[in-house]
Amino acid sequence: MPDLSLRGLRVAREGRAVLDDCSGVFPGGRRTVLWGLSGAGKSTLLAAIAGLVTPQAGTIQLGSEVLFSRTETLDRPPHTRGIGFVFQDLALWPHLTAIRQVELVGRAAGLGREGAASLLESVGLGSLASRRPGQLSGGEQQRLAIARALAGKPTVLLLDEPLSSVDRTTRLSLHKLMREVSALVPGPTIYVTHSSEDARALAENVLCLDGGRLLASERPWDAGES
Amino acid sequence: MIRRAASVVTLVCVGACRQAPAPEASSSGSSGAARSVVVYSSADKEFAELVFSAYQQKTGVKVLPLYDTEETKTAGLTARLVAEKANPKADVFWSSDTSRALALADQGITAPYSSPEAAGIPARYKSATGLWTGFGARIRVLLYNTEQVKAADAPRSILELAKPQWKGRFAIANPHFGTMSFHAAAFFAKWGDSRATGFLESLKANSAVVAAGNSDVKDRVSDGRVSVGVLDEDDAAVALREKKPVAVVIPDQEGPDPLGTPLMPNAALLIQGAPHPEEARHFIDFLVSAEAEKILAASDAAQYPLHPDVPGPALLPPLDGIRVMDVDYAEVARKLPAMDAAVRAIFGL
Amino acid sequence: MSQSRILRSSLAALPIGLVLAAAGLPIVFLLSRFGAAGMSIDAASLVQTLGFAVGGAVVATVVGGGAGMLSGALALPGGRWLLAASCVLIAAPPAFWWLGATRVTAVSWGWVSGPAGGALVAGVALSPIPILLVHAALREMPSNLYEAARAALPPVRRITYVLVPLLKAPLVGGFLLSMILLLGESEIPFLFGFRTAMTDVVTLFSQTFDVGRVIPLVMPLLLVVLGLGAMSASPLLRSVLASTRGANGVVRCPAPVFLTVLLAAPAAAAFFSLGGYVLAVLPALERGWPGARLQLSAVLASVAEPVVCAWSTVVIVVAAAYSVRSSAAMRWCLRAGLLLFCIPGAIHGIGWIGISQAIGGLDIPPGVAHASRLIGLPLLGFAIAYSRMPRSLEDAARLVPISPVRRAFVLILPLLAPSLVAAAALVAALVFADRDVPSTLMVPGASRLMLDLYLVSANAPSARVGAAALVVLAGASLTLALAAAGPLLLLWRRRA
Repeated sequence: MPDLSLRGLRVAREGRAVLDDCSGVFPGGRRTVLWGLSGAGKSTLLAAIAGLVTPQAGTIQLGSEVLFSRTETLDRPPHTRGIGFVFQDLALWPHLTAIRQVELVGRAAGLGREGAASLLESVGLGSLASRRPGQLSGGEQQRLAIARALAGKPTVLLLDEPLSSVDRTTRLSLHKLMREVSALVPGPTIYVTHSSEDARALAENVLCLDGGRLLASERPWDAGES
Repeated sequence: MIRRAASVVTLVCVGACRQAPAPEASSSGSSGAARSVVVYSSADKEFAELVFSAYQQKTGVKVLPLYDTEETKTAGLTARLVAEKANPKADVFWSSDTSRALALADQGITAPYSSPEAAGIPARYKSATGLWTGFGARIRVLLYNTEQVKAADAPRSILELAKPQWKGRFAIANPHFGTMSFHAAAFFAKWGDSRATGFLESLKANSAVVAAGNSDVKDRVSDGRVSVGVLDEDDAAVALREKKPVAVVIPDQEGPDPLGTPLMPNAALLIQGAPHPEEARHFIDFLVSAEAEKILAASDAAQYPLHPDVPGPALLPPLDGIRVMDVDYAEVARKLPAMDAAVRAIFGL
Repeated sequence: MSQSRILRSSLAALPIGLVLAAAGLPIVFLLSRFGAAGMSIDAASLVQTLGFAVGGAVVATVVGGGAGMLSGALALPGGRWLLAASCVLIAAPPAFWWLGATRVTAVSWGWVSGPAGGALVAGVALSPIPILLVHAALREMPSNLYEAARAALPPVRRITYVLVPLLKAPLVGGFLLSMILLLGESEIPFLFGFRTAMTDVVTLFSQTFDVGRVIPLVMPLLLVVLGLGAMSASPLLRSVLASTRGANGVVRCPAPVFLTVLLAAPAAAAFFSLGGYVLAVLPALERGWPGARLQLSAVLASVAEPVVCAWSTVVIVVAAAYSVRSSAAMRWCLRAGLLLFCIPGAIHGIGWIGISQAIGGLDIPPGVAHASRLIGLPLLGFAIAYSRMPRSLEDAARLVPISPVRRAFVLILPLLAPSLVAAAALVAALVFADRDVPSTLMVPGASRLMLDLYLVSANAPSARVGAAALVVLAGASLTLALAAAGPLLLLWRRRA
């Protein structure tokens, strides 16, 4: 169960350092809630881990594998990092059916059509496989986004406030799903949220992002830090 | 399958863009090689096509035409022929304006060819050395709007357009182009530069409306924007057929020594260095023949045949009853530069 | 590291840079000939030209802007259909609509004459440009902006002090674009009998076929058009590239039915003109089709040339600009493309003829002149669509382990397809409708339906003109459908 470790990460946007000497370890096989104020840089951190943003300094390492290193001039392309990502706005491709989205992402991991159908079944979308995102409800879209993130058999699962726009009942059922899927991921599952309810339901480990740096914390939502 | 269909459509489109129409096989069953003749035509497309399709049906030779737009009649094609002198693309020039075509002969653009089919055409309508042959002629007429002008008040002479009662109420086509350029240059040939320039100045002083072309003159008279227009008889015939509120006067027919109205033959010219000289000569044979003149006379073109035994257009009086302006066509052609300079100076065009 | 990044960015921008440079060759040629020969400018007819262009642009902006505001801000019965019908006007040049209207002989058209008449007709014909820009801006605007005005101000004040200022960019952009297009218009001035710089250029070039002699006339027009194009780039790009994700558009409120009549005005003009052609044909139908002599080769070429131009410009742009789609270079490319588009097709054609004469008389196909002018349109369509695409969609695509080419075709380009379809259709429409380029660059024996219509309209009976116009309309419809079908293929397999 590889850990994801960050060392001295620096990411600047429009001249402003969003992450500055950011270091921390996300333990493998565990769910880590990434907590912080709006604008703290949580989404930027996830993007940097996924390789969607190039840091100006630092290192990102997954187990023994270096994903990014400024000093060694190493920057693995996003699709080779073994990352599953559930975006804040879900980023479901509107022109592809549910099964096609999953099948496409899972192809390199040997997931065929049957595998994709089975994965959709496991998240409760078995009967909706031929629908496009626009034909799914909010909760169904969330499940599809999760299924797509898992399709590539990722080593790390990143979720950027995926439940921000669903109702409470759906949220509770998705909590259960997320606990189940994170068990399938060998490396860390990193969950960004503002919701203390989500954090309480999912956190096995907590890191706070403050001033561009990662800090360990117990239960910051109880202290009203959100 | 969709991709295959797209590939087919793409290939068809690209092929059609090249548009190298395959000439039909000759009816005489010759070697089977495609034959074509390139004709630059300042004659109106819909009239010229009658002749082209008749020729194609008769001989199987494909005619590849290039036309002028109305606003740059004849001058556009003559300019192109001059520009292509070193590397001609045209075989034949069918000019609806004799004067500009004759000017080409002076520049060595044309090659001599006296068609046997033109034997019946009077000598004054063709070059003695075969550099041009006239056929299918038009006359200049006055067209007036019957809702604005009574028949008794209609002008009877082109000279009347300089009179006060027509101030700002008459239109002429741009004298740099088409048959108006012939008409204007004919004044210079007939009267000399000084008097002709004075006449143009009097038209300008009388607020002549300069239209884009003959058909623009026809339209302006037809819808009443002007009361009178100077144009060709075939343009006037279009307005009459469309039942516009117009009537025609053939100018300068009355009086002791009437000026007469210009008679403007089309001109057929063989281009020097034509890519298809044999086909060019055969086409000219057809173009200047009685058969082609019959087509032009019977059609909406309503052009007067120069072969004496071919009947004239039905809508118009016979040619032998019309007083024609007595000018030498070569002299008219020589007066074009002087006329162009005067028009530029007087009208600012 | 940053040097290699600069090098990588420069290399990425090289393909689109080369494409735009190639498209700009005729203009560079004309400018260099002007500079080298030390010629003077002949601007004799520039004032009248500007008067015509400004007048027409004012008409287009008032008519189009008004219609756009009506359709974007009000819930009018049949509003969407009327909006779509208004856009028919852009499918053909202003002269086409005028020729159709004048077939209606019951109306006396004598009062519509001179530069004022020409500006009125051309302005109405170009009104779809401001209509579309204004309507799109209203649909993109955050709803609460106008809702706040509705809560606080009566109608006239809220339109004057809130709505119109909010629509400043599309209105200014629409005005400038209409003006630029009118500067390049020659057929309306010919028909209405007044001189403009463009008619001087076309006339003199036809008289002489000498590029050198026509350059003093081209220069003032070219400089004015380039200046206006540069001025219009900012408002146009601001209108069309505005990224307002999350905005729902102005909430349409119910309105009196009579306003529908105002919205219907541009569409009515189009259908009046078409009706003129139909009325001209009907009486002659009892004797059979009034026989515009249709040549299959002319029909095929008239349809194929615009379609091939549309598809090839879209493919070239996508291939060349994809690598710079999110870089700062894209804005500069857009400006260059817009400038090329602003220059009239006839000037592109003359420039290409000059180049061909300079290199020994090589035949340049009309499609090359069309493409050099219109390459900016697919570029703009590509940029608009990409700017509106949520970035997370591309981020998600980057995580998929497939090749970059497959990623582009399967995941990104289908999202841009609607905009590419619109761009392809617009390129095809403009190529189909053009008269100046074919009349200068076509080889003997070739013809185009639109040019044939102009040639026939000179002296043919109305019935024949009407028949030719209806054939042109059918050809245009087929052309647009085929042109749009190309980029639509991007979506076809993906939806399987």
